[in-house]
Amino acid sequence: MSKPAVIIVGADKGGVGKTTITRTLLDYFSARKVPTRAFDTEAPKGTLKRFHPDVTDVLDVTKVPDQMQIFDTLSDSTVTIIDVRAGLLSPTLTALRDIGFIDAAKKGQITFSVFHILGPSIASLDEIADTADYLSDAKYFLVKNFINNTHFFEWDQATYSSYFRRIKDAVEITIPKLNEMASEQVELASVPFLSFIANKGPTGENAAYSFVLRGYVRHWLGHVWAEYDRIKLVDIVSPKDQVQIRVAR
Amino acid sequence: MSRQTHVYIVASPRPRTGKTLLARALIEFFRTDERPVAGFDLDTMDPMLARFLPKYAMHADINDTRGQVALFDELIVDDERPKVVDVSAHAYETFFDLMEQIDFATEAPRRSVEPVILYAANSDPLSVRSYDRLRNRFPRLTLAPVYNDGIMRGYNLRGEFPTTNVVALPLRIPMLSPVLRSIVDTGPFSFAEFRHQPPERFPAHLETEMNAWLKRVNLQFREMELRLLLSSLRGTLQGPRPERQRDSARPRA
Repeated sequence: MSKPAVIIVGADKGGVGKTTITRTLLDYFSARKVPTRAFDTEAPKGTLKRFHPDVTDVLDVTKVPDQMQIFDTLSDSTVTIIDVRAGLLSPTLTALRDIGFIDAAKKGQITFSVFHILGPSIASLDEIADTADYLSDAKYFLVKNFINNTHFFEWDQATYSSYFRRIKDAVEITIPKLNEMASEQVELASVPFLSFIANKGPTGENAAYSFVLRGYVRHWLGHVWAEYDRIKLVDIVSPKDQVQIRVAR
Repeated sequence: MSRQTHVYIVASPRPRTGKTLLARALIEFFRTDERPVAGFDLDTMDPMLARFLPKYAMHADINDTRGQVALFDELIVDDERPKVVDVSAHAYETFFDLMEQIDFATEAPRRSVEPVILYAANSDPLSVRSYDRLRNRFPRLTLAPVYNDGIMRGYNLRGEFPTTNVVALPLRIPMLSPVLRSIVDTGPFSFAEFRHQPPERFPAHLETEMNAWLKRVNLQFREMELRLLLSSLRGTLQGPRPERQRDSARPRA
C-alpha cells in the first residue's frame, strides 16, 4: 500500500450488525493477505475482540490517548478497521475532523472509507444527512444489512434516494441474510467465520461444527465477499497493488 | 484399502414414479448382503419408506434447519455404510437447493463420500427438464436415470435422459404383475425376508416371478456398485485420494 487505509464501520443505532460486518471485512482481508488490524470501540466489553483477539484492541475512541493509539500508529502497510460503538459514529467523525484526520484524507495522505450500516428506521436515514458533511473525500458505503432478517420497512424508495444522493459517489452494499441457526452457532463458537467454515476452534484445534451450518456460512460469506469484490475493496485500500496488477497484465 | 461411503439419492420431481419402491429395493439389497445400511424418508405427508422398513429407514424433515442438520450431517459421515435417501416430490426442490447451497457435491468426495443420484425417469416434461437441470447443477456427480417398466409403459426415453459417464449407466426396474405389486405395496413386506424365507402358502408362480424380479434388480445394483468401485480405483491409480475430513475454508462467491 502506498498510504495508510482506515475503514470505519458504524451506525448511530445499535443492533444493526456493525460488528458482524467488521468480522466479514477482517476475514476478507485475511483471505487476501492484506495486513489488517482492528479497533473495537465497545469498551470495555469488546465483542469484536472475542472473535478476532489477535488483531483487535478494545478502546474508547472519544478519549485522546485512545485516539493517539489509533491514529499515531497508522502504517502504510496495514489496513485499520474501527468498529464504532452504537451512537458514536457522528461523534467519532467529529473527533476525526478535530484531529485533522479528515483533512489528511482530503489531501490524499490517507485512504479513508466509511461503512455506514443502515437500520430499518427513518432515523437511520437521518444519520446519512448527519455524516454527509464529513465525507466529501471519503469512500462512503451505505450497507443494507439483511443478516438479522431486517425489512427496511420504514423506507420508501424516493425518501431513501433523496438521502442517498446527498453524498457524492456513495455506494450501496447489500449483506444477505444468514441462516439463524448458523449465525447462532458461529456466535457460540466465538471464532471468525473462516475458522467456522474450516471447522476450527478458537485456538486452531479441530472442531465439530455442523457440516450444514458451515455450508450455510460459506455460502453466505461468499455472497458478502462478492459484494466487496464488486466495490473493488482491495484496490481501494491497496492502490499500489492495483497498479502492479495492471502492469502485470 | 477402505471403501467409499455411497449416498444414494433416489429422486424425482413428480410423485408416483417408483422412487420408494426403488429405495426399498436398494436398502433390502444391502440387507440381503447383511451389510449395514441407513435409509432416510423425506416424505413428510406419507413416509412409506420409513413405514415399510422402520428398522432401517427414518423419517427426515428438511423444512427446518434442525432437520437439515440432522440429515446432511449424517450423510457426510464417512462410515462406509451406504445411505439411501428417498426424496419425495414435494421435498425435491428444497433438497437439491440445500445440497447446492452447502456445496455437498464438492465437500462429500473430500471425505470419501460419493453421492449418487438415482433419477426416477418418466415422460413428464418437468421430469425431463429437471433431469437436465440436475446435470448442470451437479456436473461432477454420478446421475443415473432409472426406468421403471411399470411407469414407462413402453416409452423409450433414453434420448431424453442422457448419461454423462460410464458409471452412471441407466437402471431398469422390471414391471411386477398387478397381483405381486399389490402384495409388495401392502405392508408389511420385505424383499430381504422374502429372499430368506418366502411366506408360507405363497403361490409358486408368484414366488418365481418375485425371485426373478429381485435377481434382475439386485444384479443391476451389484453392477452399479462395481462400476462405482472401479471408478474410485481408477481415481486412486491416477493420483492420491483427497485427505479425509479436509474442508475447504474459502467461501466461493
